[in-house]
Amino acid sequence: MLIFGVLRSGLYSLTSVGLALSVGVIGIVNFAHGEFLMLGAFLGYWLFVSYGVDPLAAIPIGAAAIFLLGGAVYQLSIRRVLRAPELNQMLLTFGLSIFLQNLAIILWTGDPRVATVSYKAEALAVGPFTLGVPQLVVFGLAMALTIGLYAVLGGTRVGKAMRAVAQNRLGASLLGIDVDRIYLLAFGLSTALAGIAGMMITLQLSVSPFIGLLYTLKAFAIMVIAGLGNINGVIYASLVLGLSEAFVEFYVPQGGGWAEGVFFFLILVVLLVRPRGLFR
Amino acid sequence: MNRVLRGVLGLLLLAALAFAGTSQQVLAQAGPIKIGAIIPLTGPSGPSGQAMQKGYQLALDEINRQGVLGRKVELIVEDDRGDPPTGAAAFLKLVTRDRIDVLVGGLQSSVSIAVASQARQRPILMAWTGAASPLVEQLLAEADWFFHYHPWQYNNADSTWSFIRSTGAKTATLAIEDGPFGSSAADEAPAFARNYGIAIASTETFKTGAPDLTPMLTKAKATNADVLVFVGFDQDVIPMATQARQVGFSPKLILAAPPGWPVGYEKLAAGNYVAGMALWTAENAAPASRRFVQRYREKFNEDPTFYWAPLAYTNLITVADAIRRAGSTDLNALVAAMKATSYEGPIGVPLTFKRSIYGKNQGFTRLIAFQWQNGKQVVVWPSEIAGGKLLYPAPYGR
Repeated sequence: MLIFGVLRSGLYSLTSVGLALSVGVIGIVNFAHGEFLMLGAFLGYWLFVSYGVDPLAAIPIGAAAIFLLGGAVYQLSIRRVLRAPELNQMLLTFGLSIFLQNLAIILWTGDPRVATVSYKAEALAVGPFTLGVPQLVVFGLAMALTIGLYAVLGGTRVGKAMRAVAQNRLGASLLGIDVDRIYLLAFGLSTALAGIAGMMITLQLSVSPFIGLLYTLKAFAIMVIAGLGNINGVIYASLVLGLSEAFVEFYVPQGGGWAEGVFFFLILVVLLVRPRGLFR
Repeated sequence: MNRVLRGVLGLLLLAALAFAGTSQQVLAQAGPIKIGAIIPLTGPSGPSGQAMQKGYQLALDEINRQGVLGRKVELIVEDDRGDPPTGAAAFLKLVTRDRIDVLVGGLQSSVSIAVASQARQRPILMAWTGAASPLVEQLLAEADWFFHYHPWQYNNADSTWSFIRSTGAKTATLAIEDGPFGSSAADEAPAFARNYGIAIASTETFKTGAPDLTPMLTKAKATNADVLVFVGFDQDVIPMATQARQVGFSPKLILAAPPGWPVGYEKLAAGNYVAGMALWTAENAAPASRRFVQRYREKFNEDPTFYWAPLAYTNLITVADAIRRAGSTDLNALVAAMKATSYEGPIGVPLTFKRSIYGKNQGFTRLIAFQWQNGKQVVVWPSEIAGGKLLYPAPYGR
């Protein structure tokens, strides 16, 4: 049960860290985050089906493509509502989410599609346990990317600039930091991380225009548990969600139906008991 | 004089109006026979609805080669988007503005309930393909003008458990999505399993779209049941098939009943030997089915993957045939002609309409079982239309 919980937290972490970056640095709640994940998943699918490129090998192409798309979306829409009321920002990203989902339906229909990578159902036997190979790969990659992001934020000039902008936009601009450029970079990076998470989904599951919503909701739950915009707490919060779900599924009779409701329960508890988040 | 003149003018006006009315009637008679179709072309059920539209196009080409009663048939398609209010509005539009003669189509039960509620107030020949929920059947229990093609949910359950019995299995474990689709199957399963002498070892639920089913499958594995009955949607069969292998769960048979299968499933090695229930598959060996598949390929340059295409084809062909036999579009004549339907089409089973538990005119009542064997859906049950042998126990990994 512990292993199932830990492994699924990898994908959750990868999905949430981008959203946390967007909230933490730019201060915008991006409801279309799951749709960038969905586009990444389709990109992984088409590269595999059309050119036989394994989704793992396609990560650099996919990340770059979704980064550019995210950057374009930022320039065309997000940038214009940064000083608008929060409700306007939310409505914009919500509309963007519906637009991207319907665009995907028009382009690729609503059919679920499966990329039949050779190791999709492979498992490794470790002592008495069997571990799914795609889940292990995704977990490892998610941890590497999340820790890499922490390193970038903590140890590079760009990362420090992002943190400075997150703490005080005006102060950062007075110090000569190009705030708009940092926002563009943060949003592009956030969507690229979602795109990579989507490509990892093609390793394990099917791809359809509707897959984004579930991951957006879970990413919100993880952000609330971690504390809004708290990038450092995302890994721990992902573990809390992954383990809670696995625990309910395993030990509660007919728990599979309850497990997906766990994240709403966790949001409720955290907001009531510790609204700042468990890991802040 | 003025009074006489007024009288003559009045008579002339009345005559002119009467003539205009008659002319309009004559023109209407000479115009096309209008058939309205309500199907989901967009939304989650869009792929199934689009398959239906292709089935209708094939049927329409065939029908209009000769026409019906010397007239063309015009099909007016409305997209219900899988949304009940949209379906109800489409019905009103078709009946009041387009003045259709017959209504066809239908896929989701929720939309069908909305359409049926409207139809009860404005009866019209309703030749309905979809909706498996008996709620629709109960809503239109007394409607002589309602003809239902798709098996009802209890027909589906009966076919499923009858097939499981035929394999020789003694125990089954159920994995069921916890929405309306799965919960009705969960409600019905114990009674049908008991009838067919199958013991249910456990029932586990999951949320459709859940990416990780390993805890549930691990619990199912512990029951050591002969068969895993998996009731979920298209996207759920991928984690089910792959993660069952990962946790080493190899029951003698995995039987899944999604409304459709993901594109590319046939290439998924872990999906081999999974069995499914359907009204029809493209591997159906019936001659009419083979002809349908051939024509479908020629027209659309692809294989039909949903049974909704041949079902829609059957739907329109039988309606056109009933209009021919009725000799008019009068409702009573049409109802009588539809009741006399006897059609052997691509579904592979003769279509006639008989009473069901609540309804007056039920068409198909049985599903077929198939097994994925090296990328093909090989029909394995019932034996009279089987195109291959069920591999039981399924030879996973051999």
